[in-house]
Amino acid sequence: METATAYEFEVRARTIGQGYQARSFRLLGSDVTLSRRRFTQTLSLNIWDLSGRRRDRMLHDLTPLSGPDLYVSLYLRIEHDFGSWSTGSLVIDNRVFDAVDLIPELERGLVALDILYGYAAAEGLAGGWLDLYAGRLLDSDSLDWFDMDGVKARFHTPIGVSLAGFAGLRVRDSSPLASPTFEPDGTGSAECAEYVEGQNPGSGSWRPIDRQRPGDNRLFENDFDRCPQRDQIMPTFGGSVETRGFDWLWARLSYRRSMSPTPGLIGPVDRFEVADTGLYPDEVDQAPDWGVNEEFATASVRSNHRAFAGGGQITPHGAVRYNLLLGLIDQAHVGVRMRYRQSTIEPEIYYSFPSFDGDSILNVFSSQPYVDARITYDQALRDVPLSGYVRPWLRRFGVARDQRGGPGDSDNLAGGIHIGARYRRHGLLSAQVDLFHDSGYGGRRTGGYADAYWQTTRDTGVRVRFSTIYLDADLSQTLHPSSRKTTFAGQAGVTYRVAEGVVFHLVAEQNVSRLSPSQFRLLGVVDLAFVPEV
Amino acid sequence: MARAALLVGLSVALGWLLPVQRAGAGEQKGVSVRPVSPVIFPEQRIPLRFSHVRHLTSPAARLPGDRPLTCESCHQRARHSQSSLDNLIPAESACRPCHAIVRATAGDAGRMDTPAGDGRTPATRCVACHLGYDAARDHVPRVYIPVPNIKFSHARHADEGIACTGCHGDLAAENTALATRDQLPSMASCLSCHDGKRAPSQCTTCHLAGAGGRIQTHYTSGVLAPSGVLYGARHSIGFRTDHRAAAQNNRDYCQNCHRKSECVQCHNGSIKPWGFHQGDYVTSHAIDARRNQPDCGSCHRSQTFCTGCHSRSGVSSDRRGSQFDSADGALRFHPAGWADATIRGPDHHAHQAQRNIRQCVACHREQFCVRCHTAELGSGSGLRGVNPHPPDWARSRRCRALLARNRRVCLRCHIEPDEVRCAG
Repeated sequence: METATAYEFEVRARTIGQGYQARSFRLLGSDVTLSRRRFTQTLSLNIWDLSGRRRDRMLHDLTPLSGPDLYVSLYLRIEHDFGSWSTGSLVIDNRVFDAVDLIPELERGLVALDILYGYAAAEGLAGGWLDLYAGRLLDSDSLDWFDMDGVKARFHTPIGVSLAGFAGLRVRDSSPLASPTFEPDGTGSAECAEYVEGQNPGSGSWRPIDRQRPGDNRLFENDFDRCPQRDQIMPTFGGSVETRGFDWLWARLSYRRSMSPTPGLIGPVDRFEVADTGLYPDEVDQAPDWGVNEEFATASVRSNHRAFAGGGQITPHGAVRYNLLLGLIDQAHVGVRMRYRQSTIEPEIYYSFPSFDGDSILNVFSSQPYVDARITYDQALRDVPLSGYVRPWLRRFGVARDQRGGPGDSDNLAGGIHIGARYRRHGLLSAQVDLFHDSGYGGRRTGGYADAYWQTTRDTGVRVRFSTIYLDADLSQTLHPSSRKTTFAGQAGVTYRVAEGVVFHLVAEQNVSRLSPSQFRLLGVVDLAFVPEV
Repeated sequence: MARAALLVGLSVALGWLLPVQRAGAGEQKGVSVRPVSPVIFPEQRIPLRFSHVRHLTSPAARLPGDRPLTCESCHQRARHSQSSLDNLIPAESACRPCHAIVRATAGDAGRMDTPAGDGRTPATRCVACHLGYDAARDHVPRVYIPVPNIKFSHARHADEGIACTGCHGDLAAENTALATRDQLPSMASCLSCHDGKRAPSQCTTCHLAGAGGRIQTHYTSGVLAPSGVLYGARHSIGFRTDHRAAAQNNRDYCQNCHRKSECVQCHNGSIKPWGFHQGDYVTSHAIDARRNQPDCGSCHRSQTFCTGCHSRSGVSSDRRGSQFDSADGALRFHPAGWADATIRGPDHHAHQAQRNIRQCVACHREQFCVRCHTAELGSGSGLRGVNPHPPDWARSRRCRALLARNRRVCLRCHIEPDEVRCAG
């Protein structure tokens, strides 16, 4: 008789309820405290080994894994914000508006059902040479990551190199069941303007987009604003070449391109007294049919070498991204990690040129890169579960060519130091202290954090945190004349394991500062996990 | 830019040129160059008095028939063991061929157990080997050696011709008395053979696998984390908040232990990561935002997340609910002359925008910039035609690249087709 088979599956659900206060500034009258009440439910579902290859495999068994591995992986999130933060109203010029109508960005936070990723995978096809993935793929591209509804194939060659290719629709804010976090940054979901053709070609102007939707106080939806360019599909494709199987070298070259069509007319043609052409001027076919949103070529490398008479390692690593949309390198980093026994020192340099979605004019305004240098030293002790680190850093911002040597060629440095130590014993008791000081561009800050966790019983743990920070923010504000302030924050939490796979957390936090005399936060979490032993 | 690229190349070249050996290749077999993981091999209690070196080197330590002692003489099951679940510590029966054992208790002193050994070694009382033996209660402190959290087949390795000393070291040469966790192999020594060619290098070849084939990391003895031996990604104290470089290189390696859900819970989370944005971060975040350090874009979109929050809390200029902005000089956020086209320098917005425009767009939407920077002089009211392009923009590669790939972004400010072009 054939033995019954079962899939391996793993279900993790997290239910979060939180309420906290946030200050809203008022020029006239006293500031108000907005209440935020949020409910979040996440579900992580994995069904592994649909091919049954790991059947009967026990933890300590040595059964070799062979054959294709088929699985499904999904991460889903439901979120509802129902406090006065987003569902409250605002009074402007004696008229009452729903907050979400005035601030469209809040709309996504009101109520949302997001699938952050959800795909089916078949790894190890064709004798182990081919991997296939299809669905909503959350993928990484060395220096960033992106979400895509599409397919991906990866082929492992016999010469230690893997080739991958993918194509699909980039997940953006307007995609079905999508998180706005995956929208390429730089364009707004509000205050769009539509071009209206003038009497003479080239003499038109822009008007706020009128969706002709009456304000009807819809609870979960903004009644007025919408930016059509952000509603367009964004086809994406790319590929990569990556080393595989070398323990001393990992390297990757990749390319990715995302583009979107130009929206046409918005709404009825004759809703203005003069002709309109859509979001962009197009009287003489100026507007292209398509535009590129992102186009990157990225190279990454990491190498690993035994050193210091076998007692240590040297690991140089680096990555560089060429932004073809802007014709320049916009991200790079290089570093060398050197370890000797329980000590590690790692100098690193990061380079960044702020860049955005190709539809964003911010790409034009941004013209100076910044460079960040840091050295991290950490040390663990062999016989005592104690470790510590120190990290000095320096960031230098670029100065425009026409400002060099002038008044603008100053205040372009920021730097600081972080230092900390941790005692951790078998996860039953841990304590950590972090201290920091930084100064220069942006302001000055000195403070520290203290964190302690104690598992009091097999099923119960308590955690306390305390922090205090002295701030002297380099803000030009005059609303609150003194930007110097000291903040205090205290947290206390308890974790209780109700049963195997059922854990409850409760955390309370109180923040006190001159700017915000009291902001309280209460958070409750229920973690459910069903992870069968294999 | 060129410097950064050069540095990448130099660093990698430096790593290759240094007189170092490939990971694992120079490992002295059998010698742990670093302590073994307390998670893989949990702490042991071995209340025994025993000398391996004496048993291996003493002329008197011979088996009946004058055969020399070997590892297998005592660890008789090791050669055929196929699982780390097996208990390979010699039982008392392994001692008896040589040692007569005297079970001396308070009420029965001197009772001789049998067999009496080979006669060449003196009869031995319990306390001779069992430290802490309580004769009054006939209590023997137990040896406690937890099951290691790893897969291992002694038989498989023996079949490959690997001697005991290959992993455990030469206990005689190292003058080892009691063997402890120090004589267990570290991952570095395993990798000297498990290189993907001579032996499989897949993590779960040795590490216990959980659901989905990922390494099981949580044990009663602690949480398993990389030592850094393989890729240098040691999870040291600051790793959780500063893993950018490691994550940007070979994320497949990360996924040997981590699920994607762990990434999105922090990077696309709905709750403040308590270990990252510690304390009253809402009050202190402005300094980080001005420097973009850490990179806010790793989790947040400035034109939605930042503007939405700033609008609602009044720290904005959009006049759509926020009241932070004011034309009144006494209450205004930015300093006088902030938008004066005739003034340049640190107190002018252009200086800040060119440096890190991400800090600007936390409060201002894209359209806010267009109001002044549009090239269309005749439309609407207010200031127009302020050129935001960097010097020599029209001749720059950036102009050509952007125009070739996305001309419509130019149309946000320029109407006339003649204006939408680059030089050359």
